[in-house]
Amino acid sequence: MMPLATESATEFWTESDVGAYVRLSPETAKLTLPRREAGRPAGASVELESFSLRGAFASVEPEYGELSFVKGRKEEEPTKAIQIPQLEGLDKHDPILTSTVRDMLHKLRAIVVSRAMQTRFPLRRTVVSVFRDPEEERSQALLRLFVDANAAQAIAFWDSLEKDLEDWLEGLDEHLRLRFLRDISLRVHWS
Amino acid sequence: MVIVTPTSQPFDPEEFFRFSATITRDPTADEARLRSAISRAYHATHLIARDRLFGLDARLFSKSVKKAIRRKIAGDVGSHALIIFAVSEKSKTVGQQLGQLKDARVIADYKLDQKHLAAAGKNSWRDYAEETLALASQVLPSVKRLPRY
Repeated sequence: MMPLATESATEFWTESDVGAYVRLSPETAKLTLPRREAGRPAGASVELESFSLRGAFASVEPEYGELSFVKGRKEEEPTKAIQIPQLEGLDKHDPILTSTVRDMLHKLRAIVVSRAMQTRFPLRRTVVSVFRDPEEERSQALLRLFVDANAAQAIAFWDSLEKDLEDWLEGLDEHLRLRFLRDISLRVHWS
Repeated sequence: MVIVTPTSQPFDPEEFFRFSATITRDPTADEARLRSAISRAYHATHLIARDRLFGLDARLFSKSVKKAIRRKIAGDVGSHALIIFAVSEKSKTVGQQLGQLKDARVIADYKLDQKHLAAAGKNSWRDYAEETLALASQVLPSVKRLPRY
């Protein structure tokens, strides 16, 4: 199922089923389903509160910049799409991948995906990984992003996450905030 | 024969970065050199971050400071992880970027199985060295601006 967003803009947050926050406009945020899904007829509009980020595609212009969906476009017209990749590696088993850490990895990914959608940044893969440092005898849970961008674009995107991360971590209690800083991190790899 | 005269000036860790760049630019550089380039690129950023936070040669990075940070993060981690944690307290993304450089250095120095390159999405040590150098070049200006811890 690949829902296409036919209308929306920015500046309104709504929660997805992975705890993600997606910026969309309050008045125009609707999705049109290309096929019958979840008991709704094909072509039906749904409110974005029920929209799942998993495997979603958003209709956007090809170059980087602010997200700007085309209003009133017919469903059958060709669209340029940014793929939101699935989160891979969730089947890994490791002592560091506790339910708390997995939950924070989901939230981290949601922040990344949200920013990528806003800026039309091309994420290719998002992967959960565990990195072991033999020198310091410790492990860290990583969210690896593989992106279709050059070094400058990838690092600029990474830098742009600072405020989102600060805002999210400020809302966590001290224990979780420190847990994130110690046990979880983001890695970005470009072509 | 080159005679090196002792100087009162402390060594500039950015020399390690320039050394890494020289190796990476060399199209004939083999795996050993490219691994060394990755390792030195991390050390350049690590040493600059460390000394910005804790003074030259980390002279303010006392046992009591380390103990206080370890208590804060409730973990018995090594000094490199402590520096990354301290950087993360100032900037989450710069801390993560320093962490990525550290991972690359660990792979370059300790991991001999080539499967570790694939985990970072790379097919060759040249690709990995180029990515690491590019990241280090962006992180260096950020760590130079870090305030005292």
